[in-house]
Amino acid sequence: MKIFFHFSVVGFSNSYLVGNQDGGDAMVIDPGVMDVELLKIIEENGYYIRYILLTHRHEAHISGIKVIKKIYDAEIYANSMAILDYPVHVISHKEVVTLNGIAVEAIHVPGHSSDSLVYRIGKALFTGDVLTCGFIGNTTNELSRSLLMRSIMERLMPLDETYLIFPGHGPPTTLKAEKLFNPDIFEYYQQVHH
Amino acid sequence: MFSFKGCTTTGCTRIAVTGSDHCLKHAQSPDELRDAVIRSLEHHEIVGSVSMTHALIRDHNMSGSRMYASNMASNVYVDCDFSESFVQLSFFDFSKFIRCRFTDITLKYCVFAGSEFTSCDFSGSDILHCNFLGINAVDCSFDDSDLYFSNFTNASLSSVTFRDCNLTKSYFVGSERSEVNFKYSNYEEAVFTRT
Repeated sequence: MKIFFHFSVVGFSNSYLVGNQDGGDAMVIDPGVMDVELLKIIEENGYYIRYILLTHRHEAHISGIKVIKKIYDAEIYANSMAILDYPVHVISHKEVVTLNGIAVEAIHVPGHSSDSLVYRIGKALFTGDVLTCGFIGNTTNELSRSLLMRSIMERLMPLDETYLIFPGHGPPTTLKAEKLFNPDIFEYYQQVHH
Repeated sequence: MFSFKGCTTTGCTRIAVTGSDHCLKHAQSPDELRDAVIRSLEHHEIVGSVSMTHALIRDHNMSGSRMYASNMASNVYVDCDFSESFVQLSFFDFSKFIRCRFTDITLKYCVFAGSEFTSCDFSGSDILHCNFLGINAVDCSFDDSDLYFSNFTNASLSSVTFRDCNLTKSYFVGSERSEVNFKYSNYEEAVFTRT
C-alpha cells in the first residue's frame, strides 16, 4: 500500500491518496482541493481515482470533489446521505469495505460533526478533524465536546499505540504521541485518575 | 508506501526491518541488516518505505539523502549527518539524537514526537508540517529555518535558539522554555497558549 500526502491551500487541509504498490484504482481521502499538484501525484504514479472517502462533510475536506468527478468516475463513501448532490455509499461504524483489495474500516467518532468517521487502513488511521497533532476537533458546545472526548477515548485510544495518524489538518502523528502529549487527552486522563 | 509488516518472531510486536522478516532484535545478523539499510540511505537516491526501529546508528553520513514514507522510529542516532537531505512523510518518533547535523535539510510532514535532541543543529532548514510534540531538546539550533505548521506542544526546550525563523502557524502550547531565543523571528504568528 502506498500513501501520498497533499496539502490543500483551501482550508489548510490535508488530502491523502491511497493505492496499491503498482498503481491502478486508488482512493483519495478528503479532497480539499483538486489542483495540478494532486493530479500529477495521481497520474505520475499510475493511479485512477475510483473512490473518494470523506471523514466528514465540512468544506475544507470536500471542495475538490467536483473537479475529481469531472476527471474520474469516482464513487463517494461517507457517513452522509448526499454530498454536493452526488450519491453516496453510506458507511457506518465498524463497517469494512474492500476497495481494490485494500480493506478500509470506518470508525464513527461523532462530536466535531455528527458524521465524523475515522478510516482504519492497515496500521494507519485517517482521522479528519477528530484527532490531529496536539488537538482534538473543535466543537460548537460543551455537549459536543463531551461526546467527542468520549468517542475518542472509547473508540480510538484502546487501539494499539503503534498506529500512525494521518489527520485532516497539520502534521502526521502517532497514537502513542497523542496519548502522551496531546493536552486534551492528557487532561482527560488526569481527571479520570483523580 | 508504509510497511506495516511485523516481526515474525512469536510474541514480538516490533516492525520487521526492510529486507527481513524480523526486527533487529530477532534478526540473525542485526549489524549487517542495519548497515544495509543505512547504505541504502547513503546512496542519495529516492528511498521509500524503509523500516528500521530500535537501532543504534552511530557516526553515519546520510547527507543529501532522499527519504519518503519511512519508519525510522525509536532509534538512537549519534554523530549522524543528515544535512541537505530531503525527508518527507517519515516517522522518527521516540528516538534519541545526539550531536546530529540537520543543516539545510528539507523536512516535510515528519514526526519526531517524544524524541530527545542533544546538541543538534537544524539551522537553515525547511521544517514544514513537522511534529515535535513532547520533545526534549537541549543545546540545539533551529536558526534561519522555516517552521511553518510545525508543532512543539508540551516540548521541553533548554538552550534552544529559533533566531530569524518563520514561525507562522507553529505551536508551542504547554512547552517549557529555558534560555530559548526567538530573536528576529515572527513569534507573534506562533501559538503559545490554548484558546
